[in-house]
This record gives sequence, C-alpha cells and structure tokens, in this order.
Amino acid sequence: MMEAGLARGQARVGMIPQEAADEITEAAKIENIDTDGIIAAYKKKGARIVPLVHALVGQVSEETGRYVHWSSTTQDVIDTGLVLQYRQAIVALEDLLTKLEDVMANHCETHRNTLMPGRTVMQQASPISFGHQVAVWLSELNRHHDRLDQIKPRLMTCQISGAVGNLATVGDQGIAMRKAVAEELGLKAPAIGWHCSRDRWAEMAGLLAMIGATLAKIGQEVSLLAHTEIMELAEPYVAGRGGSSTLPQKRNPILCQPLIAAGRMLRERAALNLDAMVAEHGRPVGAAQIEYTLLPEAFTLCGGALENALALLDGLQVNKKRMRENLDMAGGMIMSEAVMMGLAPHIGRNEAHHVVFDACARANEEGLTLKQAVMEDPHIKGKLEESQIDALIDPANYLGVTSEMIDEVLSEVKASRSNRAEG
Amino acid sequence: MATTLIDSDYFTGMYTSPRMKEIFCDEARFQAWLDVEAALARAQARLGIIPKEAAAKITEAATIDNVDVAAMTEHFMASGFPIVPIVKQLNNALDEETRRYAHWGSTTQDITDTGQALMLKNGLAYLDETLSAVEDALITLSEEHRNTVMVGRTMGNQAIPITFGHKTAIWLAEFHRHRERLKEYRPRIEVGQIAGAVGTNATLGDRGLEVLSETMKELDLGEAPITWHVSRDGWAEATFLLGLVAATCAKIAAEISLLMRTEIAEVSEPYETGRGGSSTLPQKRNPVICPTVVATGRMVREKVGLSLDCMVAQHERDLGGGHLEWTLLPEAFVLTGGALEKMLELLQGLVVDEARMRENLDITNGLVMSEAVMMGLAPVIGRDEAHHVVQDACNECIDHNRMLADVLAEHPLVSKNLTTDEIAALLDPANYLGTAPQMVDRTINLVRESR
Repeated sequence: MMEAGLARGQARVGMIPQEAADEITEAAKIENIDTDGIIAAYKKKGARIVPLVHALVGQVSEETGRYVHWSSTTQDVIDTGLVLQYRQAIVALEDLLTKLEDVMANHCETHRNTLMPGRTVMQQASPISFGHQVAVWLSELNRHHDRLDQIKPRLMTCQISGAVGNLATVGDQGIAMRKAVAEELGLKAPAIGWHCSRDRWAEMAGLLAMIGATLAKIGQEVSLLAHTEIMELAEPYVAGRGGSSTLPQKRNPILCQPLIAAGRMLRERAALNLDAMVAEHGRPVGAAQIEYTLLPEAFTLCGGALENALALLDGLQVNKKRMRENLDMAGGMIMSEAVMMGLAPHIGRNEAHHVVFDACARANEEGLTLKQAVMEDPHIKGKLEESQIDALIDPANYLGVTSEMIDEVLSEVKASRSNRAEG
Repeated sequence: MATTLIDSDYFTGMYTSPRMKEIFCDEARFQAWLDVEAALARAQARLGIIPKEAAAKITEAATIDNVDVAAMTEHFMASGFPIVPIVKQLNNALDEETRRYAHWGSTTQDITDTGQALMLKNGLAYLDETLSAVEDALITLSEEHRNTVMVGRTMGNQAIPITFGHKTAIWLAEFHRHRERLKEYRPRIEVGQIAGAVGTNATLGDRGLEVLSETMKELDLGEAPITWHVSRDGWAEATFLLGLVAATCAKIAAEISLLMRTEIAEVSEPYETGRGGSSTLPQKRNPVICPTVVATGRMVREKVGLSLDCMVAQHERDLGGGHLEWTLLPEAFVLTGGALEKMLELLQGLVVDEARMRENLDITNGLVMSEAVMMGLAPVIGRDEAHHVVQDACNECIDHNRMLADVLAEHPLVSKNLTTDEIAALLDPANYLGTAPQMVDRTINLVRESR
C-alpha cells in the first residue's frame, strides 16, 4: 500500500510515468507476494524491505520495474506502513472507548443513589454512591478519548524522507512529492523527516499505557470490592467460570486479573518507547527495532484490556444490599464527620472534631453505636435534638453534590463527543 | 545530610534547575498549602458559609512566616499525615473564634493536591519559557548551518550528505511538538480539587460545587467535573511530558557526544581551560554536559513508569500513591528543567568544525555519493539495474581501496551514459542535499508562525 501510494504520488508530480504507477498499484497486493520467498531473502540479507521490493519488481513489467521504490528507503516504507496500520488500530480503539463510556454512563444513571461506603487508605471513610465511583472512571476515560483525538494528527504523519532525511534522490522535487504521496495515503506530510525523532510514537505508547493504567485500576477496584468479606461487586458469572481447581466454593475474578497484568505490561512499553526516542545520527542502531514490536504489542494489549473491561462492566453484578450492610456494619461510625459538621456551627469545627473524635473512641471501647455515644456525650447534649442526630447519621443525607457531579461528567462526555465530531 | 544528586550541594548544579528547585522547595510547598487554605476560606466567606472576618484573618495568617517548621515536622512524624500539622500551625496564628473556620469541610488530599497543582502550574510555565529559549538557540544554529554539508549516518555507517542545520532543525521540530503538547496538556494538569474525604463534598451539603468553583477562581486553577482523588491521569500526563522532553534532550546529548569522538570531532562542547579534563590523561577534553543530560533522560524515564503506577489507585483514596507523587513530580521537574538549561548552554556555545565535517565526508573515496550516481543512472537504465551497477563499483572500491570516480569512469554502462563532468557533478555532496535546506526553512517558519 505504501509502495503503491509512493508511486501514485510520484506520478502526480511527474516524477514517474502514470502507467508505471497504475501497474505498481495493481501489483502491490499481498496475494502477489511469495511470503516464504521474502522471509528466506530477509534471513540472508538482513534488510527488511529489499526482499519485498524485489518481489514487487518481479510482479511488474521490466519497464515499470525501473520505477518501483523510486528514491525511497527502508525506514520510509516501514514507518509509513506502520502508521497506516495504526490508523486502523485507532479506529478500533475509538470504537471500544465509546462502547465502554456508554456502559459506564449506564451504571452512573442506574447507581446514581446506590449508597456504599467510601474508603480512603483502605479504611471505611464516609458514604458515596456507586454511580459516583463509576463517574470518576468515566471522566478519566473521556479524557483519554480527548487525548487520543489530540494525538491523532501528530501520529498520522507519513515518513517519506529518503536515506538520511533530505530526499536528495529527487533533487528539488522532494517536498512536492512528499505532499502528493501523503495525500495519496491520506496522511499528513511532516515539515521535516523524523527517522530519528520518535516522539510521536512515544506519545502514543504513553497514551496506551495511561489507558492500560486506568483499566488496571478498575480491575483492581472491582477485585477488591469482590473480596469475600466485602462482596459489593462481582464479575459477570456463568456456571463453571472462575472455579478453583480445588476449592469448590470459589468464584475467582477472571477479567480483573488480565486487566491488572495488561496495565503493567503497557507501563513497560511506555518506558521502552522513551528509550527508542534516544536515537543517534540519521538512523539509530537498535532503537527502531524496539518500536516495530512494542507499539503493535501495546495496541493489541490495550485493545484486549478494553474488551475485557467492556465485558466486566457490561455484566457487572452490583450487590446494593451488601453495600448497605457494609455501610452500617460499624454502628454508624462512618457518619462521624457528618455529626461533626452538624455540631460545628454550634461549637466550631476544631472543637467539634475533638468532641466527635472522643465520642468515636468511647463507642469503640464500649461497643456503642455512634448514635448512642453521641446521645450520651455531655458536650453534645442540648446542642442537637435526637431527630437532628438521626438525620445527620443517615448516609443518604450525606452525599454532598454527588448527583450534580455525575451530571457534569455525563454532559462533559456529550460535549467531548460533539467536539470530536466537529473535529 | 544531602544524599542525592538533587540535594547534594556538590552535584546539584550539574543536574538540576535552580528555578525549578525554588518552585518545588519545602517552603514553596508549605506556602502553597496555606494559599489553598486561605483561598478556601475566602470562597466560603463569599458564599456565606463562614464569616467574612474569619476569611480575612485566615488569609492574613496564612503565610510561611507563621509556621514553626521544626514543630510542624515533629507533629508530622507523630501524626503521619501532612496537613493536620500545618492546620495546627495556622490555628496557632488565629484567635479562638476564627480557628473554628479554618480548613472548614476540607480533607488532607484536597490541600496536598491543590497545593501541588499550584506548584505544577509554576513549573509548567517555566518549562514553557525554557523550551522557548532552546527553540531560539536551535533556530540560530539551523539558520547558520542551513548549508553546512556533513555526512549523514545511518546504523553507525556513513550514508549520504546532509547539512548540520538539517539535523538541528529535526531537533527543533521535536521541541516544537513538545511545546504544542504542553499547551494541550496544561488545562488537564493545572486543576485543583475541593472534594472532601471521599470526594462527595458531603461536609458542604449542597454547596460543594460552588465552593469548588470559587476556590479555583481564587487560585486561578481549573476544576474537574468530578473528584480526581483516585484519578491521577493528569499528573501521569505531566510526568510523561517531562519524560518526552528529557528523552529529546538525552538524544541530542548522545548525538553530540558521538560527533565529539576523537575520530569524528565534528562538534564539541563549549570549552574553557580545565573543563572536562581527565584526572590522569592530560590530552583529554571530555564532554561534561552531555553525560549529565543522558543520565537525566534515564532518570526521568523511570519516573514515567512510577507515575503510571500511581494511576492504579484503590477505592476513594490510594494507599501510598500520593506519597509517590509528592516526590516523583518535583524530582521530574527539577531534573528535566536542569537538562533543558544544560541543553541551552550546550547549544548556545556549541563549537561546529565545518572543515572537519567536510574532511569526514571525503574519507570513503566518494562512496557516500553512490546513491546519487545510482539516481543519475536510473532515468537511463532503471533504478534496479542502476543499483546493481553502482553496488558492483562500490565493492570494487572497497576491495581495492580505489576512488569511486575512477571505477565509475571505467565502467562501460556508466561511461556510455554519463560524461566525466556529469559523474563529477553527481559526486559533489553539495549537489545532493535534496530539499534539506528548504525543510530547515519550513521548520523555522512553523515555529515562528505558531508564536
């Protein structure tokens, strides 16, 4: 495809005959290539594109053969060829991101008011809704989608630069030819060659790693909330899935594990691509070879992680009852901050913090509920009625602006989509 | 007690940026925390949540001069959380009535995140300024050496001619993309948060979003639609940008050190007597800047991986991730800033040996011009056939140490189609620069237009 685009672009600027370009385009198909033959030639010669060029020359007339790979170089073909593949990969990525955003948006709506304990530094802290937790993920994913949109024009840049980047083989026609070839391939022409300027691809590897990290976080969160003692969430279950090889009772997380692992594998590729940026002279020894494997791997892993995340969240089992039980398990202690803030207007925030802190300590020692400890506290008596205390310790009254933030995220996703559609 | 390259009085000057150190030092961090507390109080006062006098007094008291750093440090060692101690210091400077309203409805991470966002904002502004200065230095070099012919090298082998300005313009284009990225990323990085313990702002009832907006207006920071206590992509993106910039610096430093090798000697670092001397070999002029920049690129690279780890945060607040970010981001800024400042010094004082570049171009007896001859023959005998003919001639030159011009003149297919003068013209490197000088112009124009 790249060789054919090159020939057509060159024909357009009058560099090679149009008939030659047509014949090359017709011949430049994978079914015309003897794959075993070019593999054998590659092993012998060690150059990656020469065997393919010879194979292509063998498919066209002798006259046209003179114009195949005209003024090109190996890295032009490999870089531009990969960019064409990345273009398809990005379409798949965008599709998966959109689907996952939709699934998350559904959870946000469904669980807007599904109460559960919020946890900080692994301890129960204060109530949240499950929809809030998912909206935080959704906002993050939407930013990745925005990032992808910004990166695309940089990544969709062809490499038509010649052996050391100056297009010397075609004299002063280089820039016009590059522009024509780029148009043929539907890519952007760079201002200057980038054989040794690999920031565009490093940026893509970085974004794939960030998406991987977001999905790993979600996989980790779901698996933490699926712990036997917590059981607020569970992976989609079908009989026999996730069974232990020995423990009959188990329903192990299946989708979370590869999500966490993929995040780590992608992380390493982001760093590896930064290594590939440190390229010497007109073409580096070894750096490009790293990129030819790491970016296709990263796209594949990230795509796999997105598909797993989609399956996980699409079929996610949310146990509202268990969330509520966990919220109530510590005798209402999770509502201590709410009581403190209820008391603060009467005695100041700092003093309220001391008083409620002491009440919590007493409740812990004496096995009281928060309400009991608060009702008995001499500093609180007379300041708050029982009905006020009941209202303060009801988690449903203590979600702050959760619902509004969910709405903001949902409208942000919509706004981002229409921005992207407008380009 | 200094132990690291960043802190050591001895080493720090070679690796870090003094300005970045100012932006990210302890005092700046404490003041940033206090600035957030004060902005929060003013925002709440404007919304009628706390009295106006309280906000005025909190603002007045929220200065590093009121902080007893030794006492606060001791308190931190005991409490294990960083904000409780500074709130206590702030309270010590307030009357009893006002004390009731300090840190109203807030949580530790709101203060640490928003405080660090203020520092990041300053760090990014300085990064932009320094990148711009590096661009200027590269514009100067690219213009000056637009037509300075040197050999291009691929896979460590001499390939065909380029100009030195072409090489520096590639660096310029790369730095320019970093500035474009910086502009795109900043609105996602310079974001604070007032979200409360688990991100719902429950302490503020239905006023949470107003408090968030007003506080961010006070601090001139952006706001996210929802809490990002465990959504750390903005900062991972910041670290990644620094990783990209540091990798570009490392590439340039590695390139300059390669071109500085005794056998090549086409460029060298700015030299002053005594600089880069070996501890034993009197003749040596070692690169001094390049090694530190190459090392910095690797150090910042590692921070990128760590920052991606921080993204994998649990529940409503992560265990340990925040701690990593307090150290890795300032380190990454201080190191990358250092690499850029060194890069600026290196590029501004770079010594370019044009005569040596020309000599190196000639050491292969004309072989570096073989592609030019091939393309001269191609219109007559086809590219593939021309490649065979010239490759045979090159092999003859290598095997018998002969000049390419002589071997070509003897070849019947060549002499039949090209005159001696035509062969000589094809072998002149200055005639085989393609559109390299025009690409230099385009790159410089691109940078200038975007400003």
